[in-house]
Order: sequence, then C-alpha cells, then structure tokens
Amino acid sequence: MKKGSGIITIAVFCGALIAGLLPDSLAAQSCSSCHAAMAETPVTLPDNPPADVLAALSTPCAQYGRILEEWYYIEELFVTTEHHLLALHEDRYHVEPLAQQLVDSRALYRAAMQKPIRSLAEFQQITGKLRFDVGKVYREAKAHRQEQGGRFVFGIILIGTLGILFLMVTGWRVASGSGIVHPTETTLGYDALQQQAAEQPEEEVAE
Amino acid sequence: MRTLFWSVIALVLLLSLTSLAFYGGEEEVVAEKPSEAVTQMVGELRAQVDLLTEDFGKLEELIALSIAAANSPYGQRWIVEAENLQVSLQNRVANSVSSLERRILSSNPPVGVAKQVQEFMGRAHDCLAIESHIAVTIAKHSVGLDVPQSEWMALADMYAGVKNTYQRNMGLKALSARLVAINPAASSEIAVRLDAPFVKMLYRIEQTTISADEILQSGLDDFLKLQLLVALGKHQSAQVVSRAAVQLVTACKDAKEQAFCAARVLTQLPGIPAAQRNALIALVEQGDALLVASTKIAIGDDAALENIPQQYPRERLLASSIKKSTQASLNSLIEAAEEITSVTLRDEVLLHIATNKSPLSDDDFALLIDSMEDSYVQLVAKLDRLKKAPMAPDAATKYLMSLEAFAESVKESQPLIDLTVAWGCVDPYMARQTLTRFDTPSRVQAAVALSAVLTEEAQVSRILADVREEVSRTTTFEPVEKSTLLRQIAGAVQAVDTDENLAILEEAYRAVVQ
Repeated sequence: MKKGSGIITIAVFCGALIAGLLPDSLAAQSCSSCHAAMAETPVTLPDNPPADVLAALSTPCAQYGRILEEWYYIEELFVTTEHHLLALHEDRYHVEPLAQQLVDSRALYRAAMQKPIRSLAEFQQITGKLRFDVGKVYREAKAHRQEQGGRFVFGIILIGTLGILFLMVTGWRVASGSGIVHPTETTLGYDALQQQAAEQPEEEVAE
Repeated sequence: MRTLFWSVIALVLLLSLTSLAFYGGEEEVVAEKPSEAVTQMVGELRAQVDLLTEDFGKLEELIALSIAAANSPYGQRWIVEAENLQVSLQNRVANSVSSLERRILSSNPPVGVAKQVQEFMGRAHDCLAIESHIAVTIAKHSVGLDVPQSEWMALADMYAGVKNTYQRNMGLKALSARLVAINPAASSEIAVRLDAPFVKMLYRIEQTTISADEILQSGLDDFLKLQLLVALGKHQSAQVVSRAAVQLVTACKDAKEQAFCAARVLTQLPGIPAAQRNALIALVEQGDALLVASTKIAIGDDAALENIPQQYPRERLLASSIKKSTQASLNSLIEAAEEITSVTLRDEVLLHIATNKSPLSDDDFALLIDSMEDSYVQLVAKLDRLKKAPMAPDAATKYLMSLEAFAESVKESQPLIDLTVAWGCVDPYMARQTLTRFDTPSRVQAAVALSAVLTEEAQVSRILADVREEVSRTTTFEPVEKSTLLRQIAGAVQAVDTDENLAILEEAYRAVVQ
C-alpha cells in the first residue's frame, strides 16, 4: 500500500458518509425506523457476543454493530473482573463482598441481555448502568491486586534494605573490632606495650 | 553573543506572558455564568420537555390500548384521542418549545447552556418520531377506521424531510414493507421513491429481482457490494453468490482486508460450497490469530486458541467451541469447560450442554449440575430437564420442592416465573403461594404466565383478580406503568371473561388520561 493512500481512503469515506451516500443509521431513533419487522419483534441478541469485536463492524446496520460492540465490551469487563477476583481468592485475599457484588451484577447482566432491544439508546442506557456497577467491582478488585503487588515489592525492598544494613554493620564491626595483629607487624597492642615497658632495664628508665 | 543570549531570554519571557494571558482569558470564559433570565428560561424549557416526554409515553400507551380494545367501541375512541394528543405534541413543539429555544439562543448564552438546550430539543424532537405517526395510522386501520390513500402517502412524505440519504431510504423501505399486507398499492408507490442505489438494491434483493453479477457490476464501494452479496446469499442461497463473493474478496488489495472480508462471508453464509469455502479459508489465514480462530470456530472447524494473547477472547472462543461440539463425550466436555476460569462463561457452557446434549442420563445430569456454580444456571437447567422429561405428579412435586432451595438465592425473575408455571402444572395451590415472592410488576408477569397453564377458569379468574386489585391499589406507579400492567392482565383475562377484559382496559385508559 502506498504511503498516504490510507488517509485518502479515510477522507473519501468521511466525505461519502457526510454526504449521506453510505449506510449511517446511527441517527435513527429506533430499530423500527429502518427495520419494518422489528416494530413488532424487536432485536434479540444472538447466542454469543462477537469474539472478535471487529465482527461488529461488518453488520450493515450501524446501530446493531454498536449494540454488538457494547455487548462485547460489557462481557469482557465482566470476565476480566472475574479473573481479578479469582486471582485474589487464590492468594487467600478476602473477596467475599466484592464477589457478592459481582454476582448481583451478573444477575442484572443476564436480565438485561435477555430483554428485547428496541433501540441503541435504550440498550446503551442499560449497559451504561451495568458498566458503572461492574466497573466499581473491577476498580476495587484491581486496586486490591495492585495493593497486593505493592506489598510484595515493598517486602522485597525491605528485606533487601535489611540485608544491606546487616552487611554494613557486620563489615563495620569487623573493621573496628579488637583485631588480631600479626606478630610480624611493627604495631603493637596496649597490653604488649605495657609488657615491653615492664621488661625494659631499670637504668634505661632512670635516664 | 551576549546580545543574542538576552534576546532569547526576552523572547521566552514574552511567550510565557502571552500564553498566561490567553490561559487567563479562557478561564474567564469557562467561569461565565448565564444570567438569571436565561436560567429561568432553561428551567422552563426543561419542564416543558419533561412534560412532552411524559405525554409521548401516554401516546404510545394509548395506541397499545386502542389495539388491545380493537374489537370494542373503545378502540376507535381511544385512537382518535391518541391522534389528537399527537397533534397537540406537534403544536407544542412547534410553538411554545421552539419559541423558548429561540429566545434562549438569541440571548447569546454560554456554551454549556447552549449544549443543554440542544439536548432538550433533541428530546423534544424524539416525541415527533415518524414511527409514532406510522403506528397511529396502522392502529387506525386495525380498529376499523377508514384510512384514505392520501394519509398513507403522507407518511412517505414525512421521510422527504430526512436529510440523511441512507436513513431516508431505509425508512421508506421499512414503510413499504409494513404496508405490503395492509395496502399493497401504497407499498409499491412508496418503493418507487427509493433513490439510494444501495437501499434500492436491498429492496430488489427482497423482491428477488437482482442477480449476483448485477451487484458485482454496480458502481458501489466494494464493501457495500459484499454486504449486498451476503444479503442476497441469505435471502436466496449461498451457492448463488459464492463465486461472486470469492471474486470480490480476492480483488481486495490488502491481505488483512482480504482476511477480514473472507471471514465475514464464511461466517454469514455457512452453506457456501466446499471449493469456495476452502479458497476463503486460505484467505482468512492471512489474518491475525483471533480472526482465524473465531472464523474457524464459527464454521465448525478446529482452531488453535493458544496463539491468542488476551484471556477474554480466548475463553469466549473456547466456550463457543465447546458449545458447538455437544456430541462429544460428557467427560471431555466437562474437562474442556473446566479450563474456563470465568464463572459466567463456564456456567453458560455447562447450561448449554445440559439443555442441548441428548441423551443425558440422570447421573450425567447430576454431574453437570454439580459442576455448575451459579444457582440461576442450576435452576434453569433443572426446569428444562423437567420440561423435556415429564414426571408423575408425586415425583414432580418432590422435584419442584428440591428446586425451591435454588430459588432462594436466585435474583432474576424469569426462572422464578418458570418455576411458578411448573408448579401450576402440578399443584395450582402451591403455584399461587409462590406468587408472593415477586414484586408487583413481576407478580403480574408470573400471574399472566400461570393463567396460561391453569385449566380451571375459576382459579385463573381468582389469580388475575388478585393481581388486578393489587395494581389498582398501588399508588406508587407512574400512570403509563400502571396502564401497561393492567393491559397485560386484561390480555390474560380475555380468554375467560370478555366483559372483565374491557373493564380492566377502561381502568388502564383512566390511569393514562388522569
């Protein structure tokens, strides 16, 4: 692909979108604005959200694509929160209140996903509240994990610091202790000097 | 050199002071407050728009009520009232609300206030949706009122004001499709007004008057052509479009684009012939691991999930893969499901196995139930088991009693409603007792569902009379909410007592208009 061709493509796409030549049903108020049958039978979600979020882009209806995208992200948030809680639980962290909150949110999630959808705005309103609730659990779980990680790092630093201190003290004690002087050395200890003085001849002292 | 140094210093100081001055100016704009008169007008606009939204809810409920009472004189009376309300909404938006908006905007309000006004006006225009006009006109036809041809065409004229070409055309196409059974002449006349090539072709696909080659030769963008081919493949058969789709996908210049488009064709047209299928799979394999795995699982092939780095899509794909292979041995399925760490996904998979795998012995079913963690999933699976393998009354009573233990921790109302219905088939007295665990809206739903399975009319009447009384007495409901609940009860009562049905609908109507 030549350099700059991507920018030209985007510019052409945006121009076409603005001119109303491409499908852009985001402005539609409800599913029934474009899909006649949906006035009676509103949209229901398929069995699974798209595992690849890009798949949401391939639907001809932009609103439906956004609904699938929302679904993907809300489920991703759920599952990631569960993984955080599981990791905390494995580390014997007390996660019971958080887990209970997640169970409550899961009940809301199930109820919301089973409801027929009449418009993107309505769906976003439901998922927005859900995201807020699950987001709170996610934030707390993540904060606990970070706190736990922080404690681990702090522990390592503390042990390291204490180790260094111990080594320093030991080194200092070795360096400044009574010390064993080699007999061949010229310097003598206090006791040895006293003994040497006692052994000196008396005339030398009188002088 | 010294001069140069001082010049640079002076320039830096000058720039700093200038930016400070600009920053200070912006602060002043942000801090600007609307005048008292503007604040008052915005408050008034908000109140008017709130009232409009409330009345729009009443309009929708009146339409539903008139359709529910279509076979009685009330139907025609109420739809006329709904139409009058619609006209009044239009007038209010056109006169008082719009003039208030103009007055606020002419007073040059701060940006925040202008945005607020824009939001209010968006809500006000939502109350004038073309769909509500269509609903009123179709309801008029349903209750037996004469709708002249000009009125149907007036609906199409409303779309002329929609600026977005795609939305205008999709609206016209939807209207045309809805009128096929009601007024075929108007439907064809409206279809002629389509002017966007893409939507026109979509319409022709539905009419089966277009071929894959014609789509391929059109001057549309390649991605739109692909969407049309997929739509044609879904409407007719994958064989019709397979050759053209492969030709179009192969023509994409970028390998990633080819992979993406090939994946879309494969997942949306599962019946594509083997030769084209293999060619498309080869193109998909140029994409990243996630795209390859999701496509292969969607078409029922084995996929390598280890290469997907993110935990969420990997587990979701594993769940989808297990759900697609329910014919494998139960132990291998449970073992595979245990690899999923997320409780939500794992229970979803186990529920799918419990409800879709057959044959499933009692021991196998018990093993599945033990593997589940969430009581909601356990309850749904057990109720499904009862539905598929009916038991003798005594055994069923014992079985349902055991389900009551799960019901205590379930918060969703739907499986509890199903449990009440299951009790209704075995022990109506116990079914009636279980109604006490719901809040009023869910109790209405449960009572309506229960009345559909009870055989004794006296029992049905009694249960529905109880919930009706409860709804009538409750003062905390909004008028539209109360009316909706009463309408649901009326729908269930209709089978046993037509007069009572009308009486409840009338009460619902009074709740709305009051």
